[in-house]
Amino acid sequence: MLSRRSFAKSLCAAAHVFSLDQLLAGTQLGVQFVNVAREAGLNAKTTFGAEQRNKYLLETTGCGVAFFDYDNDGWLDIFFVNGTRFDTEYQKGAEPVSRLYKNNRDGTFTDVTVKAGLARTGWGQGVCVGDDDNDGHEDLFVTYWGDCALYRNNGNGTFTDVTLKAGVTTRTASGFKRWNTGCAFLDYDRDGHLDLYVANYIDFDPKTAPLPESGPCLYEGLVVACGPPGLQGGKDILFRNNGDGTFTDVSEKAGILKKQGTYGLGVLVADFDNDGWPDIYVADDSSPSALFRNNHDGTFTDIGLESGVAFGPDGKTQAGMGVSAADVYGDNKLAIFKTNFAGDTSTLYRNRGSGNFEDMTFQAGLGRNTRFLGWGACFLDFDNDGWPDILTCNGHVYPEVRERASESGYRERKVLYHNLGNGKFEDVSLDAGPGILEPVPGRGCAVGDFDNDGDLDVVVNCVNDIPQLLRCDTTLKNNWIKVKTIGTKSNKSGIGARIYCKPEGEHRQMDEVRSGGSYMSQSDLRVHFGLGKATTADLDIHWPSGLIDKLAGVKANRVVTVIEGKRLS
Amino acid sequence: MIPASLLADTPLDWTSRAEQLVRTGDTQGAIAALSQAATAEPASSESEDKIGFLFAVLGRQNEAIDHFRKSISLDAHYSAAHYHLGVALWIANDRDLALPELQEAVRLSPAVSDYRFRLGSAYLDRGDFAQAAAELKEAVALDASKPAGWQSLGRALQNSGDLAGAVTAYQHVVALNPSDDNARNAYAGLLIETREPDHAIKESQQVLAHDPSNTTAQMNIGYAYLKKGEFDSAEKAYRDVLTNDPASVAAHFDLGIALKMKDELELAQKEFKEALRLDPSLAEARYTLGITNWQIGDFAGMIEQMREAIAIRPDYAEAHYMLGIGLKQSGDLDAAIPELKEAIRLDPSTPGPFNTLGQILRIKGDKQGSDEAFATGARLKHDNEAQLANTLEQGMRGGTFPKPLVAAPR
Repeated sequence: MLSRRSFAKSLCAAAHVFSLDQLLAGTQLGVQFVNVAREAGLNAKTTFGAEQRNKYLLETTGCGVAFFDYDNDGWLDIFFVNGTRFDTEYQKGAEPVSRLYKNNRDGTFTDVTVKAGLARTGWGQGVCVGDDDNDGHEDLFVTYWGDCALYRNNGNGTFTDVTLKAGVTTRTASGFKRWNTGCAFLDYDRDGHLDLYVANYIDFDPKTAPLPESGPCLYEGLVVACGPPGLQGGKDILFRNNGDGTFTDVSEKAGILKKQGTYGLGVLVADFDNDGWPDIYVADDSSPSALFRNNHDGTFTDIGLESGVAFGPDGKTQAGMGVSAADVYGDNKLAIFKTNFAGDTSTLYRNRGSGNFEDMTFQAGLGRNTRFLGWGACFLDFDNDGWPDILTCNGHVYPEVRERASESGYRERKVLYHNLGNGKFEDVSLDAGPGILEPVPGRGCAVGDFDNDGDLDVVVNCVNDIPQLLRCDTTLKNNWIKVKTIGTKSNKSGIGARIYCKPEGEHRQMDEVRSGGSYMSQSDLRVHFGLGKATTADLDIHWPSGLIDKLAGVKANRVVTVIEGKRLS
Repeated sequence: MIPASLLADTPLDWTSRAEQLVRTGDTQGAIAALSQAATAEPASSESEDKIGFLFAVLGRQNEAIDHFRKSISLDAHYSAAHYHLGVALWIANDRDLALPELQEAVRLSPAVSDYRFRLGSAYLDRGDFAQAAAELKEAVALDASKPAGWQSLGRALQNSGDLAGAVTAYQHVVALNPSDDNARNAYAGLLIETREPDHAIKESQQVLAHDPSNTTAQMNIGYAYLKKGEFDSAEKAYRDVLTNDPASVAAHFDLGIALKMKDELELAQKEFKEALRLDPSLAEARYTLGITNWQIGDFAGMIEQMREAIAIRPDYAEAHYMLGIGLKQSGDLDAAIPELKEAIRLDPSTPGPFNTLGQILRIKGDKQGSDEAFATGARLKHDNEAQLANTLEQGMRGGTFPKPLVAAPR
C-alpha cells in the first residue's frame, strides 16, 4: 500500500523541485495540491483531435470526467471520457476508449474498462451520473458527437448500454449526428424518476464545415479552426423518464427549444429560486447563456436575459464553458460561477433571489485574471473553512498557440481562489502547490475526496495528455461532513435534495446533490461541507419529494448516509 | 537694355535662353528673358507652357498660371499646359480649379504616367481614395519605376480598405528604395494590420539594423507582438522605445496595454497615468485606465476615468457604454440609462448597450422597454452572425473576402 508520504516522495524524485517537507509543511495557505495521477495508475492519455493543428472545432473542446462510486464501496472511482482523431486508422482494439478506473482504496486505481463493458471509442464529450432506474446503482450517461450512451449499472461491476432501448439516442430522425456536450440528470417533474438534460453545441458535419483556410479563421494572426460564431448552433434536449426504463424527448413540449442562445456546453441543475423545483442553467459559448426556470408544470422558461445571467457584466455574450453553483455568500442562495474564453474573466453571478442575479465578478476580486482560458469550473471548500472556494481548469482552445511565447500558452496552469467569507476572493494559485501550477491543456474537471481523508481532491481530463489527479494535502485540521443521500420516495440518488448544514457556532451552509456541472463533468454526488473548527453540525435534508429529514448534532469528520424518511447511518 | 548675347527671335528661343539662365542661377536674367519670350511672336501653346513652367520653377506662381492659361487658350488640346496648370493651381491651394485641369490632361494624354500620378495624388489628398487608387494603378502600370507612385497607391488602397493591395504596393516601394526607412516602417505597419506580424517584425528589424534608435520601427515591433499575443516581447519592445524616448506617449500607452494583457494591472495603470501626464488629451488612455479600475473593483475610479474620456471626446461611444456599466454596477441605474442611450445613439450596431439597458429597464419594472432592448440586442447579434455565416459559406465555395475572420470574437 502506498502511503501519502511515499506518494510525495515518489513525486519529488520525479520532479526534483519540491522537497517532501516543503510539500507537507504547506505554505501560509496550509493546503497543497499534488498531482498523483501517474502514481495512482491513471496513465492513459486522452486522445482528442490532432495535436498540432486542428481543422475543426470538434477537435478542440476535449472531454469531461466523473468522480463516482460505481461499485458502492464508499470509495470514489473515476471515469474519463475519451475522444478520437480524424484521418487516423486505429488497429482493432487499439482505438482510444473512455476508461473506468476502480479505486483500490490505497491511493491507486485499476483500469476496469473492458470488464465493465465501457470500452467504446468515438468523439466522447461529457458525462453525468444518476441512478435513472432507481435500483441503487449509479448509472452513467456519456455524450458524444454522434449517438450518446446510457450505461445501466448492473450492480456487479458491469454496465449495459441501454441507449436504444431507453430511447435516449440523440441522432436526429434524418440520421444527422448531433454534437452533444454537457449533461445532467434531474427530476424536473419531481416524480421520483431522474430525467436527463443534454446540451448541444454545433450542428456539425465535416463534409460541409468550413476549414480554417476558408475564412480564413484567425486567432491573433494564427489560422485556426472556425467557429462557433458563424456556424449553425445545436439544440439542447430534455428527456423525460417514463419510469419504466424508457425516456421521451420532451424538449419542445417543455420549452427547451425556445432557448435564446445556442452553442451549449456546461449544464448546471439547481433550485436557483428556492421554490423546491430544479432549474437549469446552460453555459453557452459566444451566445447568451440560458437559465430555464422550472414552471412546475413540466415546462421551463428561459429567463437568462432578464435574470442577469445571460451575459457578462458589460452586456456582451461570453464564451461560457464550465459552470458551478454554491452558497458563496452564506445567504442560502446558490450563486453561479462560469468559466469563459481568454481575454475575458470568469464570471460570478450573485443570486439576489426571486430569479434575479447580479454580476459580482469584479466586486469579488475575480476580475484580474483574463489570460487564462477556462473550462472546468468547480466550487470546492478546499480548506474546509465553511466557505466555498473556486477552482478553474484551464488550457487554450487552439494547439496552434504553442507557437507563441505568451505566458499562458496552450498548456495553462489552474487558478484557485480562496473565499474570504466576505464576498471577496483571493487568488491563492501560487501558494497552492505544484498540482495547481503545472501547465496542462485542461478541460473537464471534477471534485471529490478520492482518498476519503476529508479534504477535496480534483481530477482533470486533459486534451492529448494524461489526466491529473490533484490530491489535496492540508495541515489545517479543519473539520468536515459529507452527506450521501439515498432517496426512497425521491429518486434513489437523492439528486436535487437540498442540504442545509449548520455547524455549531458557524454560519449555516447550503448545497444540493447535483448531477453534471463543471465542464461536462460529474463531481462526487456526496455533498461535502467544511465545518471549520466545529465538531458537530445540524443537517436538514429537503428531498425532492417534499419530505424533510432533520439530523441534529451530527459529529464531524464522517460520511453520513441519509436514507429519505429514515435515520442516518 | 538686353545684352546682345541674349537676343533671340522667337518665344521658344527666349525660353531656351531663360532655361539656361535658370540653370546658371541667374534668376534676374531668366525673368528678363521670359519677359521677352512673353512678348515675342509668334506665340504658341508650347511656348506659353514653357514660359509658365519656367516661371513656376522660379516660384512665380501667378505669372506661371497666367501663361499656362494662355497656352490653353491657344490650344485647348495641349495636355501639358493642362497638366502644368493643374499642378500650379494645386500648389497655390486652388484645388477645385486644379482638379479639372489634371483630369483634362489625363483625358488628352492617357498614356502619360506623370499625369495620372498627379491626378491620383490629387484624389488622394481630397480623400477620394477609390478614384485615387484607380488612377494610381494606371500610373504605376505605365511606369513602375517610381517609388512615389507605388507609395501613393499604397496609401490610397490602405485608405479604401484594400489592405492586401496596399501591402503589394508598399512591397514595390521598399524594393525600389530599400533605404527609405519611412516607407519600410509604413510597410511594416500595414503588415501588422494584415495579420502578418512576423513579417512586420523582420521589416522593422531591417530598419533597426542601420538605425537602432528608430522609434517607429521599435513601436511597430511592439505592436506586432501585441497582435501576436506575445506580451512579454511587446513589453520589451516598448521599454526599448522608452529608453530612447522616455516621453513617448504612444509607447507608454502601448506598454500599458501589454501589461494589462499580462494581467499586471497596477503596472499597466502606472503607464496609462504616465501617458496621460504627458498628454492629458489622450481619451483612450483614460478609457483603458478606467477598464483596469473596473477589473480591480474600483468602480468610482472607473466612472471618473470614463467621464474624463467623454469630456475629451464626447462622441466616444465605448466610454459612454462603459460609464453606463459602471453606474449600473454602482447602483445608480437612473444615471446609467442616459449613458447607455448615448452609446446606442453614437453606435447603434453594438448589442451590448442594448442588453445592459434591457437589464436595467427590467429591474426598474419597464418590461416592455426591457423586452424591446433585449430584442434589438438579439437582432444585432443575429445579423452579425449571419454575416459571419455568409462569409464562411462563401469561403467553402471558393469565394474571396475583404478581410479575414477573427476566429474568436467571443
